[in-house]
Amino acid sequence: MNITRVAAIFEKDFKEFMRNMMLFTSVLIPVVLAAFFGRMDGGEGGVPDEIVIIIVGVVFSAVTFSSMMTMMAEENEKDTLRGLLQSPASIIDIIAGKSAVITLMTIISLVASIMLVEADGFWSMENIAGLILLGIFFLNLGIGIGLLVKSVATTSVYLIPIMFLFGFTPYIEFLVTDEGHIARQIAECFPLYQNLYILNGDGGAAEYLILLAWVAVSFGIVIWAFNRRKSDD
Amino acid sequence: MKINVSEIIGTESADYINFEAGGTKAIQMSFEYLNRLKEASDPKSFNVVRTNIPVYKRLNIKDHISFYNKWYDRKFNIDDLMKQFKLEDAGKTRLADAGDELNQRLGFVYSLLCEQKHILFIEPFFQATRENIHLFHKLKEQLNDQGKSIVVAVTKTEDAFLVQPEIMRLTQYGLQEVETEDDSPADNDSHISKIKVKAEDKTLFVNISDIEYLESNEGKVFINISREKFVMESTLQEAEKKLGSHGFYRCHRSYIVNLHKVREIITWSKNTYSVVIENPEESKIPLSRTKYNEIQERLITL
Repeated sequence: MNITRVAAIFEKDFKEFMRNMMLFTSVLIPVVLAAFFGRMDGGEGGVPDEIVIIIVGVVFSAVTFSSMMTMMAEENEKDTLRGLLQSPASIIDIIAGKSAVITLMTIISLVASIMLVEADGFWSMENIAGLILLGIFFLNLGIGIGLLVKSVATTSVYLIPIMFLFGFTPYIEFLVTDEGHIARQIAECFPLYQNLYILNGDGGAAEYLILLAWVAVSFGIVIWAFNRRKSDD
Repeated sequence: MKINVSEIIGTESADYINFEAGGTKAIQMSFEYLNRLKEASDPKSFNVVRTNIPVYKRLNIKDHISFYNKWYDRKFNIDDLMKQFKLEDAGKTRLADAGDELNQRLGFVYSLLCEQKHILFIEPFFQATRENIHLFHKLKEQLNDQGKSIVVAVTKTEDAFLVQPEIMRLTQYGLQEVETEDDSPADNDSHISKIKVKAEDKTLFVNISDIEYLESNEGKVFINISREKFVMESTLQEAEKKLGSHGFYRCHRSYIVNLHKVREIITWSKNTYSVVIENPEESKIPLSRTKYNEIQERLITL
């Protein structure tokens, strides 16, 4: 990895991010949602953990996943990387630079949202560790799909299903009310549920292991996407 | 670095386009070949400078230049670069709002900063502004000094002569040098007012005073009259004899220009000159170095 190149990409993509309304508003969506939810439930117990975790899901799917995918798709669409990819290593520099921008934006969006819902005890070490794993999962998903999509328009095909599956997972409780239903049992293996258990204080080694498994799957997707793209070129 | 000609023309040929370090080639070819050449050039070793290079529409020109400078780890002074390419006032222009002229200048800057050893210019003079042609010549020297090799591919012969006096032509028979040595001028008076030309199935008689310039291209003589080209059944030498007394002048081995239509003469570099025709396109006709002084005298005494 070449640090000057990573820094060059970071600077360029940071400027682009701030001037791209589509990306910039994605940072604001979870913050606005959090402001609503924070006022809605002013009871003694504060906002329920399910709502807090759904806001976390929105941050990671709308900011981390969607922005990463969109940024990569835009480079593919405009063919702006053509001259920059002199060596195979340079794509790593580009991804690292972009990931740094996205990570920064994710943190800004997450911190602002959590402040607005006033979730107590959110910033515990256990919870932060879980959030980092969740963040890596969504970032890798964005990189993997971003490597393959050819245009910004096609990103929405992937955005909606991923957002519903991985970003809004706890909503299944409204759809399927029977607790023992097979769909509920499958959903409880999804990454966001692990973060919910960790936030509840029920988190043990199993939750972290399941999250680690999802992270491993996401790395697999990135490697697969890399090879697909290499054979396409 | 070489590109085999057979890859571009599709038939057997032992010729190749040789990219020599520090050298410049100007090659005239058909539009079809131009596209194939563009495809045959691997972006890993060739930087292709064309109209509308891919850019980040939301970023401004200065952002682009500083990004390229950092990415390629060059130590150029951004302000000096902007000054050299006359971009000082355009630094804050976003690429979405920048026109073709600015995009081309950014392409020039990029070719100076990039890592590729070989620079392929595709139609750099097509609708280019005069300022950009001057910038091209400065850039060309700089790139050659950096040890980079330049190939300029164009469809119009006049454009190839804008690069340098020695040009090549790529045809279905391969790559050939275009001879440019000057023939001895033949002065012979004759009094005619029209000239016979052919356009497809028609035979037309055009007023001599309407002709802008004549060019010889692959054994045929073409007469250019305000955007139209007609074939004249004669050699350039015969045409020169016929038209010599009507204020026409052989300014180059392959060109005769109507001195009444000449607007100005431009010096691009120490041995590249152009005669600019007074028409909406401001057609630029090559002028041989040896004719530079003579044409000025002829224009004064006209």
